[in-house]
Amino acid sequence: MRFFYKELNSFFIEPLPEVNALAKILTDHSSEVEEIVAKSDGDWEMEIKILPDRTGDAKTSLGLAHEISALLPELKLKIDWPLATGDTARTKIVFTVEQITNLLGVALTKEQVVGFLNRVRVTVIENADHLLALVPPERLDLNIKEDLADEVARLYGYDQVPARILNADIPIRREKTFDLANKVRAKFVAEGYTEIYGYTFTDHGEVEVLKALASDKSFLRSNLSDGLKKMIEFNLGHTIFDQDEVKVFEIGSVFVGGDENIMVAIGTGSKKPTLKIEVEEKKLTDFSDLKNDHQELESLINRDIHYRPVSIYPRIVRDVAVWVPAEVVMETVAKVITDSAGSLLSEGPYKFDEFAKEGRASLAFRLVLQSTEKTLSDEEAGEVMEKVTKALQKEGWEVR
Amino acid sequence: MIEREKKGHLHPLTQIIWESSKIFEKMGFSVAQGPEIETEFNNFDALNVPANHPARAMQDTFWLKPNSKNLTAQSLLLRTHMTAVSLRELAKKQLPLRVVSPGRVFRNEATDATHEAQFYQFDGLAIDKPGKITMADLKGTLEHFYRELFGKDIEIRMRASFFPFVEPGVEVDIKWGDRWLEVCGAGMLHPNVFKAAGLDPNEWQGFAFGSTIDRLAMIKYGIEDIRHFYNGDLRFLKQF
Repeated sequence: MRFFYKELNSFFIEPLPEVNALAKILTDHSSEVEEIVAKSDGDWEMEIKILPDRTGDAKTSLGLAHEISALLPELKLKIDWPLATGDTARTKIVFTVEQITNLLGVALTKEQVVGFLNRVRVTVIENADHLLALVPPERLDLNIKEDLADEVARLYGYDQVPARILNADIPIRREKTFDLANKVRAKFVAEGYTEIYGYTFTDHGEVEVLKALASDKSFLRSNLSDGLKKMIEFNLGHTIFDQDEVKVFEIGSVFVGGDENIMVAIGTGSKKPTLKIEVEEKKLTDFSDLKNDHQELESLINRDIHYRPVSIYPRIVRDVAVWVPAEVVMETVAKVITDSAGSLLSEGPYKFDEFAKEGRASLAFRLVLQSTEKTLSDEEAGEVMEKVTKALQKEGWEVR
Repeated sequence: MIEREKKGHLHPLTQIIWESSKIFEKMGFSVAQGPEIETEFNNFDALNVPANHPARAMQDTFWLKPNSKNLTAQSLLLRTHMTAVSLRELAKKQLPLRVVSPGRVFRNEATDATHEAQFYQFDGLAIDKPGKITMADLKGTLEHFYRELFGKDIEIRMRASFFPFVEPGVEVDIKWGDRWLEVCGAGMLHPNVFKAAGLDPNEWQGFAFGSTIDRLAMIKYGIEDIRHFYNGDLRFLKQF
């Protein structure tokens, strides 16, 4: 919703804080200011996401001016904004200070609570054992004591609310499905399978959705295998070596026979000697006898991740083989290659061959070259390999 | 990556869910799970989102065709938030209660680099006698969670917001670089939700929150496109 700073300012006797300070106050205590645009006449246009429960009173400039005056009570409005009375009150809410402080976890006094509520023109009448809030007619959103707590909390400020951490003082219940799924994950990852998450939406199945995003996404999947096979096929197009196997698995829900079942699909694919894709799918509960512990997953969590986006441009694969003295370890050679190849090296170097002869070792590596910005030319790939060759030769090693 | 690896890789979202669950277990939260197909009641009505309420239009929902084979019940949908599982746990009436529910949710919205029709959420619920679990506990619990996940120095803020199933309601942002990013909607569970679960809101009180998982992973690892999580590209997945 659009508001103009100068117009808001015109409701006040004293000037409002400058636009960015006002925006921060509104965002923290009321509704988020999403954008501020400077206008040519020195005004500011403010895009404010008025909360859905406040569209009744705060979507007009006057309504928002009232809201600002509640946040900044020291600024006086030009036109009086009266407190609710017994005659004007839209509704009445019975509450106690203890109920408010119980919700917020903040030790507020009765005077503080009443003060905050008065700022939004809620009148509070004291009775022997409770308080009575008179809600002004414009506040359609204030109906229960929790609504009053919301007013008190936001005006007090969430930055002022203390932070307490819950103690683990109640026992943990193990969730069978979650633990079993994690056991299955630990098993297959240890066996070299990588976990994928597939799409629930597909082009065939038993359960159909209304208003599908696309005609090929109008059903809920009835198995994991169909999606897994497509992913294996896709990944076989990107293997580094022809003999590489693609090994993947997925744990997910399928919808068939009126039921929702959690399945496990495990698949492998290879290109040589012939193209072969095999997928097996079982119910998660078929793994109930697994002996490993669900805590094993902990050792498979990677805490040293250096993500780089997969390039959309084609890659070029190059090999390099080098003779090194027998005492030189493979890692040393690989480091020389990595350091000299530079940023176009997207995968590798992968060592794929090694043999010893007459006190020397021959090591062969495969490199994948790829730019994140363009299609590499053969010449550019050649330049990288030239740098690698020179760096290896500089070490005194013979490039084959 | 020099030698070809022998081990496979866990999906990055599995890793975030695991780490998140561990952090919450240390604060007494058990993990809960539930179905992806939900009733209109569990997903909306019980969570104080009445049929004609504008909040229901805030979420574009995948409704299932009533005549779909073997599905006889009316008004089934794909859950739009994990709060539906929180409600199922609450309705078991085993109190006090502390649960976190990680899982897949669905929104009928066009897909782009930051929006997917399917994504993961992490919902939490802590219920006890009045005054025992408060807004201050919510703030401390979420601050602890995001600091454990992103590092001790991360800045977190809570600000006024509105969600039908909580009152008071807040939005939680974390500061990443120089920007505040919305990561969680939260608040004190609304009395109407207690009533829908068959509990007396004068006897019980507690907080609820729903945090994104995909977005946390994108922030944590610098992932530029949410769709990478679901296309099965091993060049992406093997980085985790």
